[in-house]
Parts: sequence; structure tokens; C-alpha cells
Amino acid sequence: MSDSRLAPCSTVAELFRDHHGELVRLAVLMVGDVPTAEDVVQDVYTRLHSRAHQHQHQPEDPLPYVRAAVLNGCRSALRRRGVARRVTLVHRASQRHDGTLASAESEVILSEERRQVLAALARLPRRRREVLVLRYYLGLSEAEIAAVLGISPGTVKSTAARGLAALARDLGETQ
Amino acid sequence: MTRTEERLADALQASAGRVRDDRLRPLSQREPGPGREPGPGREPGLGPEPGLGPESRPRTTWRGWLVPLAAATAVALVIGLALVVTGGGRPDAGGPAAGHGRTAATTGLPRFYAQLTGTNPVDSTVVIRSVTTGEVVASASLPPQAGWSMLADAMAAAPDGRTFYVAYTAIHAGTAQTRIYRFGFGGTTLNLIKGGVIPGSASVGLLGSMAVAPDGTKLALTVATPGHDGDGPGSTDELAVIDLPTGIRTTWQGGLDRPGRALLIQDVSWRADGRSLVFLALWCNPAAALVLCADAAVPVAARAAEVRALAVASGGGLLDRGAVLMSQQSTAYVIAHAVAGPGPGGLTLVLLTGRTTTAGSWPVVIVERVTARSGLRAAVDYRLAARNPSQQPHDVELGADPSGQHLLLTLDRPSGFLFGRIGQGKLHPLPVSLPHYGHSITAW
Repeated sequence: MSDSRLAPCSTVAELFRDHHGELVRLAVLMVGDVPTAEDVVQDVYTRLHSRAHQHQHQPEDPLPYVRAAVLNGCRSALRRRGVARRVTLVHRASQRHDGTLASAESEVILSEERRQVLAALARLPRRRREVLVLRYYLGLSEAEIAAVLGISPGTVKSTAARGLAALARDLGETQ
Repeated sequence: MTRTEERLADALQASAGRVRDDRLRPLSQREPGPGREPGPGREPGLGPEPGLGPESRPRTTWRGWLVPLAAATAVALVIGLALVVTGGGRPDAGGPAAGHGRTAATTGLPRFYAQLTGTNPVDSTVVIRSVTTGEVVASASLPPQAGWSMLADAMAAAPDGRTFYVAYTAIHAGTAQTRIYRFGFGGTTLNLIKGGVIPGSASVGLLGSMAVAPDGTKLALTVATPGHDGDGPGSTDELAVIDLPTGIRTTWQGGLDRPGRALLIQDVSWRADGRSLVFLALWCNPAAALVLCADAAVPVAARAAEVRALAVASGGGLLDRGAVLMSQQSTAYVIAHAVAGPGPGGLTLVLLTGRTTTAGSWPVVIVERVTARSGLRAAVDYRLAARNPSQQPHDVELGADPSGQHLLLTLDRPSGFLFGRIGQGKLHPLPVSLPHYGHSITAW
């Protein structure tokens, strides 16, 4: 993925102003909690903003690139935050209850049925999970998902099918 | 839509609905920290497709000392060439010390590697596999832990190649501690080592590491000290060495503090003489999310890196009891990982560097040997230049055997893990790949 797809500063700011909520929600669905999701989006914003002024090329649509950056940030956060979470368990558990320790499954807003679905989703391999979230939360087409994940539309299709099948099996449904 | 699709869409919408626009943390454009300022030609990832064209590492500042060093290098090259021509000192082109006039004693390729099994690092077991066939030759499980949840963090191999150590974070009722176990071919249970419980600490591994001394008598590890100096969660800012026969632990902390920065120690390894450690110190702008700071893809202004030595004979104390071996300023690419490698005087470093994109992927990954302090490249062990985004890893990890000669590289790509050993400029996948829980906890 080339950095030449970066937007200039003004476009970056506008893009994040328009899509901030969507990007955080996307990150929430991947990492499970709001503070980490906000960290990921903030980190991506900082990266893009700090480098955008050095690029001349103005992309027609930088959003897929930004979504890909958020997903990459989520993957890293999932790896790294185990550390923070464990440390937080020891030292901050009593100080805050804003979701840092809460997983998606533990949110009271979610019904038991929804928790089961999200838990089954969390058990899927990473790429299947990403494809399903992009498809059924953001409503992206196969081509759009392919652009975000850097894979072919055919792979998107097969990955989504396998992911749904695995989800159905896990939930005890027949497709 | 099928019933599954409907339920999935509904659950996703409900989960995402927890995020309210009016409660979003405002985005801020952070000011660059006191470290390197970003600028054309300085910031990794902004060069003219580095790695995709001729190999180059732009040096942005003139260093006068390079002149005599270059002259000395030229003399060394002439001598080396003469030795090669006369057959007096033929270097192993595929070996780690290629490029040196004198090679360190070479060790054979490890025959076994240890790996966590299962799809989740929690309560998992470990296996020892054959490097050549992937066959499981031994496996070991944790003994009952009476209510403690055990999360594997890091693994290290002893010089005998048949004994391994694994560190777990043990969590119970809001408390955490590090527990270190030994395992090998002899048993089916992990055995807690003497001094292997570090109360009040967590997370040896994901932001840090563990390494056995060349003589097999000491274990060095990074330790997270929560809340130290208010630097937030996940700060791995302490080094510890456990004397394996006695269990006595010596620690180093402090001495490397920088105003407004949080210290993370990411890698630790032993120099060949066993008398000093090499570690990668990262200073992170706390304005950046600390858990993400260890990723080399963050802006360089938010991440300063140094490879440092630490004299073990100092007997604990401050972390500054050793020289700076390499700093981020000496290389155009970000330093993601660093381990001590063999070489004349034990002063060669193995670095994993590369170019990152703002999306957090790595179109260029380089594993190279550099001479400490000068930063001059001695050899390139491996180089990946990936134009196809699906082949560009978003995470990279480097491990070495205790001799520092044989390297394990993990590339976490959209298309899946690529996990193998480096040899003769190529990555040779090991027979059994990593489980897909997103961590590379393995050792050889």
C-alpha cells in the first residue's frame, strides 16, 4: 500500500471530522473496547497528519486507506494491549470503569443473544472477522473490502462465506 | 440475508452503538517531541520507494569520523581479500559474520524449537518440535494453578538447544505476577524455576523479551513495573537477571529517564562474553498511545530508539551502566528489533529495520548485521521488498538462538503468518507455522 494515497493536511482533518465516529466504531468491533479503539484512531490520525504535508498526490478517495490503517492499528493493539490490560488489572481496576477492562461481550447494552454472536465472531480467524465486520457493519462491497484489506475480491467472497459458515456452526444454525 | 447474517449485522450494530459521537475523545494533533524532527529524507517511509530500487540507506548528516573509518575498512577489505584469495580465511557467505575479516566460532543450526500450541495463549501448553520435520518431540503442560489464569508471554532457549524457559503472567483476583518455568525433553510438566516468581509484575514478553546467558546459568528478562513514574500501563522499564542455580534476582531500573517520555525496553539479549546485556530502549511520547508506541510505525517524533549495553557485573542499579551501541539517528530506517550477534569483539548487532507506511504495514523489512557504535552495515541477512499489500506484514518479530547466529523471523501479513529461519538471504519457513492468536511466542 503506497503512501502516495495520503491526503493533504486539510483533507485528513476533514476526513477524520466526517468519519471519526465510524472509524472508532470499526475499531471497537475489532478490539472490543472504546478507549483502545480511540487510541488506535488517534494514532492513525497522528501518523497521517504528520506525514500528509509531504505528499503532493491528492487521492480521489483516501477512506479505504484510512480504514486499512485503522485495521492495522487494531491488529497491533490486540497484540500489545494484553500487556496494558494485565497491568491495568493490577493498578487501575478500582480507578476506572469506562470500558478499558470491558470486552464487547461484557457490555450491558448487549443482549445475551448478541453476546453469543460477538463471542462467536471473536473466535474466528482474524481475516474472516475483519471481512465480516467490513461487510456486515460498514456494508462495504466485495471490491471495497478487497481494497481495504489488500486482497482480491474473490478472496473476500470465499473468506466471507467460510466465516459465515463457521459462525453458523458455532451458533448452532443451519444456513 | 440468512438468519446468521441478520444476527451478525444486528449484533455489530448494537456493539458499535456503544460509541456515541458526542462522547468521542477529540482528536489532537500532537506536537513533535524533543526527539528527531520529521523531515524530508529523515522519516522512514517517505523516501523514494526504499528497498524497491537500488539498495540504499541515505545518511543525512556528515560524519567526519567516517573518513578514517573508511580508510581502515578499506585496509581491512584488502587484507580480507588477500585471505580469501589465499584461502586463509574464507568467510561463510551465508553465515552471520559474512563481511567480517574474522568470523566468530559458528554454532550449528538448532535442531529443535519450542512453541505454544492451541489457538489462545491462555493456559496453553508448549511443545518442542524438530526444525527439519516439525514433529513434536516433547510437550509439557502447566501444573494446576488453583484459580490463577495463566497467559504465556515469552520463551527462551538455553544454549544446549534442548532446554527452554517460558514466562507466564499469572492473574488472580486483580493481582498479577510473572512466573517462569523450565521444560525440556525429560518431562511432561513445566517446572517453576528458582526465583521464578516476580510478584507485582506482569508482561515480560509482549513488549519485552527473555534470553538465556551463553553459559546457561543466567536468565535475563524485561519486567513491566506498572505505574512507575506515572508512565502508564504496559511500561516495561526494568531489566532483571535471575541466577538460575540460586534463584537470586538482580534488577536494573532508572537512569534512562527523559523528560516527557516513557521508557520501554523491548528486546534483551546477551553478548557472547556473557558479561553484558544488549537491549533496545524506546522512549515514547506519552501523547501517543503507549501500547502502540512499541510499533515501529508510529511517527519518529513520538518514538526514539537506542540499542544499549548493560554490564551485568554492575550488580543492579541504574540502566545507564553501559554504552550506547546504536541509535535511531544512525539509520534511515526505524529500528524495530535488536539483538546481540557474534562478531569480532562481540560488537555486532543484528537489527530488524525497515520502512513503514502510515497504514502501519511494512513494504520493506531488512535484517542486517551492523557494527555497534559506527552503525556500519556488515552484512544483510534478509531483505523483503513487498509491493503487494497482501504480502506486506503489519508486524515483524525477530528472534535468535543463544549464539545470536541463527535467526527466526515472523512476518504477520494479511495473507497469514510467515514464520521461518533466515539462511543465505532467504526465509525458510519452518514445517509448522504459528498458531493464529497473533503472538509469536517461540524460541530456538
